[in-house]
Amino acid sequence: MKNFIDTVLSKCRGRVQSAEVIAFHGQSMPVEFRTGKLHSVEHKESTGLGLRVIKEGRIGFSSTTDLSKLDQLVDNAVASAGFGQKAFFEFPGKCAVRRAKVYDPKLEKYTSDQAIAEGKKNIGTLKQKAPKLKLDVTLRKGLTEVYIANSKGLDVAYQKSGFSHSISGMAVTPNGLLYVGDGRSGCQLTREGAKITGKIAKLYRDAQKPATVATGKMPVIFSTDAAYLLWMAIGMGVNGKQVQKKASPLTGKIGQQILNKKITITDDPGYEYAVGSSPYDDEGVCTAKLKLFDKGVLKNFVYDLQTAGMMGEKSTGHGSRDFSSLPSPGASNLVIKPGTAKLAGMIKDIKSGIIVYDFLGAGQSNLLAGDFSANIALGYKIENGKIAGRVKDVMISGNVYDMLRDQMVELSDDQELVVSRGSFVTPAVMFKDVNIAGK
Amino acid sequence: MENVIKKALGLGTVDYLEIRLEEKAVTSVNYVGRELENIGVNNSFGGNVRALHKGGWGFSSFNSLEQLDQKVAQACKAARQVGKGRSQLAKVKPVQDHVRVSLPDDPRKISLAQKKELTERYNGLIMDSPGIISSNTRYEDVFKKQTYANSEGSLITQERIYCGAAFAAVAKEGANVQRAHASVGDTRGYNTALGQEHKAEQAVRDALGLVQAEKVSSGKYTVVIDPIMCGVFAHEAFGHLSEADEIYQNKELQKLMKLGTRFGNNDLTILDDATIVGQRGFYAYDEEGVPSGKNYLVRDGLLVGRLHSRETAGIMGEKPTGSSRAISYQFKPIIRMGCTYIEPRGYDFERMIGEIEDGLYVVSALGGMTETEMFTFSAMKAYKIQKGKIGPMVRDVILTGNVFVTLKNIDAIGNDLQLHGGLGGCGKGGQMPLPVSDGGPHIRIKDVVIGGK
Repeated sequence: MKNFIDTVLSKCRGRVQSAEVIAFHGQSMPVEFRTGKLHSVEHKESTGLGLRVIKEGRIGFSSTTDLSKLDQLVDNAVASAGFGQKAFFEFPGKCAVRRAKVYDPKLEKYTSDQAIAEGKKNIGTLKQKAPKLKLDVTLRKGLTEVYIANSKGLDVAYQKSGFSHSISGMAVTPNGLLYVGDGRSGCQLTREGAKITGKIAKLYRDAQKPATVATGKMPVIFSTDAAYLLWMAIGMGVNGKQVQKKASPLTGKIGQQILNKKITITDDPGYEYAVGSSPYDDEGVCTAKLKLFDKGVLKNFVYDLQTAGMMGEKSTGHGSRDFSSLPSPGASNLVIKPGTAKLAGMIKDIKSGIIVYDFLGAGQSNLLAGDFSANIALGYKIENGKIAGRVKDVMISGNVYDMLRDQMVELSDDQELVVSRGSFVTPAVMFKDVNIAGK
Repeated sequence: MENVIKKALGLGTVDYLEIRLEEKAVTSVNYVGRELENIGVNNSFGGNVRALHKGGWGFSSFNSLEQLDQKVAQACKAARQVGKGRSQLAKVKPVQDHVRVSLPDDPRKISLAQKKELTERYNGLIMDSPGIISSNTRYEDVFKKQTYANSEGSLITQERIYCGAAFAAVAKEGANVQRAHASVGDTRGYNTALGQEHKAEQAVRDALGLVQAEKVSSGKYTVVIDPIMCGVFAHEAFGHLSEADEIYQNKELQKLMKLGTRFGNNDLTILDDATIVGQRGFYAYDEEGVPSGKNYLVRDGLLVGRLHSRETAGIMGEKPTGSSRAISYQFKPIIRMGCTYIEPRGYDFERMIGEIEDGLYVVSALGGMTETEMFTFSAMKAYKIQKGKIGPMVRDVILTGNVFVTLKNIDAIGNDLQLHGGLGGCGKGGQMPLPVSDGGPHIRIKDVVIGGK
């Protein structure tokens, strides 16, 4: 791969002011079970190369997966620069890199046979514990090499591994269709099949009894599985690009008390074996921890090189992309500081309310503004401190910012790494007076 | 190229083997606000081998043909590892064909400068409008050439060209920021992207309207939905339910989806037709080399069909429908729609509205999600209907419900069929966006739950 990168950079010499190549080479191996039966084993190998150039002060970009057509790649990038956006940055040089644990060599030897055995075991376990569930299981390993080099002499490479294990079950119940699921996703080989199946069995058991809720305001717990909705909105709000466009509701509010004092959020690209972690961002800038909210006070936005340049700021090491696109700012892992309450205690404290595990249609509202309105795909009614049954056909709505400022009651004392439209390390969050539309 | 593929197919030692190669060029121009954020061409080349043995699938994808023989061996080995039963592919005739596109206005003949100028002009229309603070204006064309061959003797080369434009306008008043959009996209060529000023202007009017609009009050409403939302409904709420991959191994779901079951009133007919030339959801052959079809799903209110791959058709003993599609060479095909719509009937739009005492007229969609029977769709905008007349605009309209119940609550089907493609597409199984189109006439539905304040 190094040869190809050098070739591209040398082809650029004399044609542009400066150039940068990002290249990925990777393998992945998904193993899928469908409706309880082994369905497929796949081996995917992929290579891709993206070229960004600066010519007469303007940015050009092109990408390819065809390493035999590097001249075309350079021509396309140069043509793009003829029209491209004005560059507000220079390509970076070397930086002092922090070690980030993103590679697990054990995954090199992980075989499809092992994945098949694990999947079969999971299905066997759940056949006992939740016999009516039709199960889909996916285990996937991935190994990727990332290369970033530029004409300023930056030349970095690192390896990243990935492993995900997810199970979802579906059952036809008298109360309609039921979907339950759980999984893990990270850079490390994990053997948590027992925990995943245990949780699914519990979610399934608790869902056997139907429960109804009336329309109104009530306490709601966002379980660690559901909390992604909150942090997704926050992630959009602190995105430097949305700030530069003045589209973020947080624009111009650094230093202000935005959220409840109990909320501290850090972007941590060094979080061990989390999917959002990496030693360098996708522009070759060294990553570092960044406090976003300290006791509810807004501290920082996340920036890539170009957006930071436009804002007169420095890149925070959050340039994010794959090889086929220009970078834009993106959070790595949002880590939410846990609180002091026990989840069991939170449930106990509720006389009449809901605990939510999954939404349907969560991303459809104006989430950048904090607004959401979603169907509760999996949630349970809490009655007198106990799980009373599954709620169905119930809508939940609100504004994430209002809720995290005025309606949040507490955060649980544990954290879970949740990968769902982002990478979040989050406790469960309890709110009061949440809008619920039921029957 | 053909010889390389034929030779590699000969190496297979499995029940069924296929090779698919794909070459693609994507040209895009994207303005966000006043900034030209992206312009240029991205190319890709890649392929895959898919093998079936004793009912088990193996798959191997790559970017270089150099090790094709090894990839064949790898896919065959994986299939053998998985397969312990019986391969049951529905029989289809092997096909040899070359589907070329010849468009009078092939976007590949248009310079990047012209595409930039067009997009810039549209973006200027949006950004020069008072009250608009930002925009997202996008032009895109895609050329794709795919060669498919299988061990049964099929060899098909297909070219596809997609072209279109998408417009978003963002308006702001105080802390209230609202966004509206419009788009156009199909397989007709560069002309599709031209003369779309009215769509850019519509996005501006809608964004300005939305900042003045009140939030809708939640509750149950009689709603009239426009052809775009009707398409989302046909595709999301019903189309996905008729994809056989979720039900072919699930006896309980098969009972729910038994052919002949009543799903709606006599005048409800829903179909998926990927044979309509020019539509974004058009294709000649699917990614298993099966010709696309006009597939009725619901006819006169009764469930009459579903969408199949060769495998699900074989296992369920039904006819293959040419519905196995993949977004790229990196994925194995899964069951997808092409162009899904509700057939028009005779109800007049004015009459449909005029008969409503208190309801909502829902226009265009931001998105839709389904989980088999449950759906939630978010509308771009809606208008109150009061005493048979269309009244003020409302925003944040989310429709939700159970599809089985909702289909039966359709009580009027209009006469004004429209199909829509756009630049996005459908997402399923990690494959997004797949080019599709959908549509219908205006339809009226009773008792729809609307989430809101």
